[in-house]
Amino acid sequence: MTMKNVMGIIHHHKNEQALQEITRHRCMASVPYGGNYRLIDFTLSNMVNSGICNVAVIADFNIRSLIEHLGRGKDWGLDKKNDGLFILPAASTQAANCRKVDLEDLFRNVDYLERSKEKYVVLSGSNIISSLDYKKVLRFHEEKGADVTLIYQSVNTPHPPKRVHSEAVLLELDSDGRVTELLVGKPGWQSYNLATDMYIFEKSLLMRILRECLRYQQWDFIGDVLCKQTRGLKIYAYPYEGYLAIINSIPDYYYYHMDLLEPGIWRKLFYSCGPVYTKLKDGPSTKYYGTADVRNALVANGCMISGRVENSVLFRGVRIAKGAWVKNSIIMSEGDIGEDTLLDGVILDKNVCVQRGGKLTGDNKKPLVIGKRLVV
Amino acid sequence: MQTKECIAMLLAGGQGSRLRVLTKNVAKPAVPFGGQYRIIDFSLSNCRNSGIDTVGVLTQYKPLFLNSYIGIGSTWDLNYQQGGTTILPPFVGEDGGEWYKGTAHAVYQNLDFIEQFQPENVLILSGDHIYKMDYSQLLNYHKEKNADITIAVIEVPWEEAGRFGVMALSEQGEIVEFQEKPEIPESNLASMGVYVFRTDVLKSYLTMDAKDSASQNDFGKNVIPRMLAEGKKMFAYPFCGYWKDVGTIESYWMASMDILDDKANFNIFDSAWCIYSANPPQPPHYIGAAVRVKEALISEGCSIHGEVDHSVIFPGVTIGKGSQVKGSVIMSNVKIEANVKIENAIIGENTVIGDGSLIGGGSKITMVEDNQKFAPNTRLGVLLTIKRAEKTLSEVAGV
Repeated sequence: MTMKNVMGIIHHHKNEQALQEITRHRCMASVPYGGNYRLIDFTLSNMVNSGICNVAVIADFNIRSLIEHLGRGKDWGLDKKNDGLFILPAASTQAANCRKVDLEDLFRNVDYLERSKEKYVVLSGSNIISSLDYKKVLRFHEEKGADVTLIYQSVNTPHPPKRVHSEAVLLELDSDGRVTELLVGKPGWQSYNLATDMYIFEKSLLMRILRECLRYQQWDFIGDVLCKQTRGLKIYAYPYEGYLAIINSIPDYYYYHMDLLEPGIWRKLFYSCGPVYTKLKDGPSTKYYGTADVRNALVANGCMISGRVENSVLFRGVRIAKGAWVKNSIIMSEGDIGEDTLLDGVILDKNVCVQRGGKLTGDNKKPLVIGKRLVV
Repeated sequence: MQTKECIAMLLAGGQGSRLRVLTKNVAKPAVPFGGQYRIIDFSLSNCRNSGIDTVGVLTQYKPLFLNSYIGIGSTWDLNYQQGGTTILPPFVGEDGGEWYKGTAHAVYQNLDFIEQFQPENVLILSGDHIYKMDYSQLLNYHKEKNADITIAVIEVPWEEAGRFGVMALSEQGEIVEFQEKPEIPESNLASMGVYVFRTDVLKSYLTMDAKDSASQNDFGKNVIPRMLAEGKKMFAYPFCGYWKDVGTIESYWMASMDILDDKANFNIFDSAWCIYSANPPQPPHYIGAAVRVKEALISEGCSIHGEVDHSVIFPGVTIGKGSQVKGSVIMSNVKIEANVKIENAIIGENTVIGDGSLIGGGSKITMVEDNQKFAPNTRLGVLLTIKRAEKTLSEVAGV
């Protein structure tokens, strides 16, 4: 099955400041993640690895770093004469918005939609970490003869749950996988079907829906379309069984980073479904000095480590001096951790400098976040 | 076509036969080095960092990988509308064609390429050295001296001088004597294989050399001695940074250890002189919970569950529990299973080393080819004296 007939749209997060300090200077899509990446890289790479060649990214707020990151899409193989990567404006510039998936954003770019020749549209949020093959979803969609296919994960939380999904879209399914009900709210904590904010449908259906939305001025794909039309539309749900993380808050961000320290998860996320592409950066491998003592850590390239690191994620170009002790922390690019410092349960944004003797502590429920370029 | 002040011709066609299995599948300039790089990355990054925007890369020996690696030079920001990077393989013309017979002949065959840009000077480089050098300073020196040719030179240890072209200089830095790979060297000032020629001089000497049927068509053996004999204005430009010809297994291993050693004065972390390279995208590497890693370079995509000391680990390498890697270079995607001991070895790409194997040791370097698969408890190279449980040792000895 060819994916030439599928286009991708990545919509922006309706709460662009969900990660507080981390999203003060950047939108959700360009939040640094997993040592080498930005959140959007995972969805974008899934699309590219599935064979999608026409991808639109809707951007709204604090978009400088996103545009710098994506460029013309070269690092995802999307810098093409035809198709490729398009960065499109959102409909409104209000950061806060109660629509979950804003179809007005798509309507504003209706010219682009009309001009695109693809039959199908994959629509996805930008804050989803997964390794999903859309080819399988398209096959499912066609086999079921669905109008809309949602991608969901069946969640069985342990007792007590490690991480509760807040404000989730939950699905009730019949035995064939057809959605009988969509509910928006906080899941109870045994087992539930979590919708992932990833969808596939025909473009012609989208156009029809957009015309309806325009008529009634109701633009939320979830609340105004899917919830109301579980009978009118054949909505199916595709079970995704791979690794899934949806980032909506600082505790999510912290929790799912610590997840990556599980070698099984690391392998599943990065090696099961093609490479995760990101903007290429030049830099040497990471250097471990004689005094380095690193255990259970994810370390990007270009770091220089002389101190102690435990249960932590280090982004590119981080320097850990002798006598420093970093544990349970996330240190973004170019962090400079001075001698005889102690960091526990902290998230340092890019280019933070912790001076000699500094002590910073937070905890896993409320990690301490230090903003970009601060010296502490 | 826009004219250029100086263009570079990068000789990348050599086999590098003394690197033995490292060049079994690729040309010497494409041999991986230093965790993230290929040897040619150093010369190309130097070009980019020195402001040279036109580079002809002459390839011949096993060029498949090298050609695709170089592409249009975008890795080094050497892709330009005018100039940029051009791969120059041997070709046939109306009178037939031939392989590049020597370094001088290779450049001679591509005089048309050079003439397109009408450069005042041509920089001749070789793609098999590890160094960081600002060619613009060499070029300025060359222009200042109004020289016909300027050769970059470096002091090498006397015992190694016989491997190089060595020269004696006048007080003004003019070359008065030149010996190519002499048995008894009279100087330890070695040619780095980096030359700047005035284009008209280069053209006339290459044309003369091509007509000389006795010539081996080599810059060091033929062209430079002839220029000296004919009294051309020849200067030496002293270079005092780190430079290593990684032409042998020993020098390759030494250079790899040098980048781990701050005292060796070769800093790959210098953001002012970045070395560019192209690698497939990989996630950050993972270091396990009970692991000791020190004095080592570890690249993306590695998963380290054993001990690493004084070693260079390329991308995508797995090192299993209880394994020890010491004084070694482990190339991309090597899989080292559990309780393996590797010492003073170079392990080629994609090789799998089974549980409990012993590779290398002693003072010699043990080489393992690409794409090998070793069964558990394989013993290879010099016998090791190791501290292990007696039980495991006897198992190993029984193989």
